[in-house]
Amino acid sequence: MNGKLLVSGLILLILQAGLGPLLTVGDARPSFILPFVVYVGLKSGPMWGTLYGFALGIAIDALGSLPLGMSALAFCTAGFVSGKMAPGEQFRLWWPWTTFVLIFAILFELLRTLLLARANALPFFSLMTWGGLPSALWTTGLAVLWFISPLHGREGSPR
Amino acid sequence: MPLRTRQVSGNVEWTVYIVCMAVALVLLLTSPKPGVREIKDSTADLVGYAATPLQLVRKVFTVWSDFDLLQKHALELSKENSQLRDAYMENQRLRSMLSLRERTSIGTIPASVISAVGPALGGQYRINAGRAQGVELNAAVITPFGLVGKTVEVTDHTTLVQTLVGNNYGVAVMLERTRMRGILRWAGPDRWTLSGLPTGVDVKPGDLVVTSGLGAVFPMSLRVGVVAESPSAISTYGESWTVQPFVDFRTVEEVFVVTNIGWPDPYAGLRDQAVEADK
Repeated sequence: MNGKLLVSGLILLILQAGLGPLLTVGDARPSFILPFVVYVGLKSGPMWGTLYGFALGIAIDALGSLPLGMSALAFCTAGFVSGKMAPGEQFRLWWPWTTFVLIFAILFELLRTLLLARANALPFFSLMTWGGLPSALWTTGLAVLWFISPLHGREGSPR
Repeated sequence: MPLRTRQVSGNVEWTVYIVCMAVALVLLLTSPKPGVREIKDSTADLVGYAATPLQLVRKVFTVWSDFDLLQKHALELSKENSQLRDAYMENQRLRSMLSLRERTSIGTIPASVISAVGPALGGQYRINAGRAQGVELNAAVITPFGLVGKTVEVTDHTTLVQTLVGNNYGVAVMLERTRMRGILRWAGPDRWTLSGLPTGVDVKPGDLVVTSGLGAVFPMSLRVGVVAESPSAISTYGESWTVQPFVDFRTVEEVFVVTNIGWPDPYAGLRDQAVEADK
């Protein structure tokens, strides 16, 4: 296990819990964990993607208001599929990074919105339009920002 | 990476993923948080919707074999139904014949129609009883409904019956209510007339016509038919009335030949005198 990744995951978990509400715009709330899990999947392979996704998902669910297991389900799938779908790919901005983050962010928001709509008897499409999709775009936007920022080391090499 | 190592690595990845998914699902589905129950219901609905087209496809494939099976079954049932209907009809006819035998004192020989001559009119029948069964020439032939005709040709095992259809003979009949006598004759397809009645005699449509026994062929009181309508013709010889026989001559299948009527022998006295003269 890469210690750097583990520390990064823990830091992101704390940021998500503390900084997440502050970055909420309207109903759009970004996720720091999802891009991280996709990153782990792409960089370290499907097994580590799965494990990181599961562990961080459980932690997020435990800290938040979502049912335990929901984020774990979505994140471990994101980590596994990212690792499986793009083996040996160059780590580029639009493919696979932004594409994967966008797809999984939308899927995660779909699941979350569905649960929210069912629990509170709210209209799904309205919630998805005004909360789910903006959140997915917000998350993807942050991921793109991170990629082009100096925080990203520009490794560019396949795993 | 060697192929074997890659395969083992792939299996481990899948195992880890499946275990994580299973744990996450168990946690999610056992969660007391609101919405989970609804998600479960939604999933069940979704699976139900997804399964519907599959069921339709399955039905399409099974419907053909079911159709063939049902068609065969329907054919067998139709055949069986036809046989049962025939048996029922035969049963009804035989019951009524049995009832007739029990309520009449005259002797009868049962027989079946084996062929019909002139089937369109029902003019003559060949029946499966003859001299060997005791059938005699000029014997009355009846059904439980009424008079059919008389025997006109007898062989050892078959007999030709002349029905009331045709101009071969007239039947001595009488009206049961008034005992007024007349002659019944065939007057064309589906038409019989009762003639020889005096003008102004008391006859009403619906009067029962029975044999009078005067012709020395048909015994007395065999049912023949009913007076159908007002007199069709009035002449110097009397009135003619249309009669509708009880028997439908086109559909007769079983008959009785009347025997042992016990007619008085018209020559008995003469024979006795001849015997005495010989002495």
